[in-house]
Amino acid sequence: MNLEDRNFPPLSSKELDVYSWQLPVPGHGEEGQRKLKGASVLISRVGGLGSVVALELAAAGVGRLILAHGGDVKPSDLNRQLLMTDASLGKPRIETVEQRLRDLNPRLEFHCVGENINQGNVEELVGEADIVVDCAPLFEERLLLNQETQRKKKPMVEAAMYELQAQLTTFIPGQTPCLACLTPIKPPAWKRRFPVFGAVSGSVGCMAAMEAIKVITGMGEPLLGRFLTYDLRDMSFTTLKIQQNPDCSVCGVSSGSE
Amino acid sequence: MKLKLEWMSQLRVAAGQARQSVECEEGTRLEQALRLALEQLPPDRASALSALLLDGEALSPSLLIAVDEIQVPIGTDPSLSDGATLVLMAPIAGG
Repeated sequence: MNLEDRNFPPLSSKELDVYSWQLPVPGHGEEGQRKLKGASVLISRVGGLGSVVALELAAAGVGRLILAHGGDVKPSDLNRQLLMTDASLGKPRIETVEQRLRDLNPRLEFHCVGENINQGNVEELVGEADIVVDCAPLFEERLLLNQETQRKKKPMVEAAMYELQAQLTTFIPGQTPCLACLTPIKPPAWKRRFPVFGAVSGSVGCMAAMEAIKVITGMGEPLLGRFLTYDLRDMSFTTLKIQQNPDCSVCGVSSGSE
Repeated sequence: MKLKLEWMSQLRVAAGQARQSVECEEGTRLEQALRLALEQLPPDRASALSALLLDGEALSPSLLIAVDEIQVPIGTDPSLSDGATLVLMAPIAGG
């Protein structure tokens, strides 16, 4: 991601105070914090996974959060969707999300959309973002988001969970595989509802937020061409090397992309 | 030779176990190793796993398979070495 040509906004004295525990992190500092303040991140769905990504990015001081999530809060959301509350049952999820995040960090700008990523909004929402975090449960949305981020050459953090397992990688167009290299079509066996604990989606949500922070600030080494998978049942962590599919219909040679 | 398989995500649930050992001949290829692994499982487990692993006769294009932590592109069928670890994963999402 190239933020180098951008004039990063200065930090106020309040912001220097709010972020004082992370400013001394090696490789971050005021320059990194100003990059976060000047960045826009799109989070596709703010449910079990995305709500934790949004909380962490808001707490870290990402200047503009673009959040897309449709529907109303349901009782079955509450085991993992940490931005939802019992008091918000039956109300639009996105309203609760916006209020909770504004309460946490009122210094940020929010663009909250009460619908999921779809053909009608994907171009505009990805266009507004410097980086995207894919947290949606449906592969139609994930593959659509992948296609648009590849077209617009925007990085995308890809996170997922199942049962006590989770996985994470970061796609950068032209440098790494894309989602369609790994999952070229909607998997026929995938079911919208699946078993998971909130602590599992929360764990990978925190790591996905850190991936976005690393890509924005240039700190550390994001999971580029590497695919982290782990199982909290036995605390086993594995990092696989992944590669671009030359026949990928989205980013491969035959797709016509660069 | 001996191979170690690690089933991930829905494959782990279908197999009813996280890890499986497969004894096979030297130079066995990936697809043959997976067939041997299925033969070792009870029929109901093998059937559930086959439904996730296979698209017709071929491996599903959405599987992520790694041998010794390096992804194996679907459509290739590499020869395996003694002691190799295979990680097999079906796609998962958020929610």
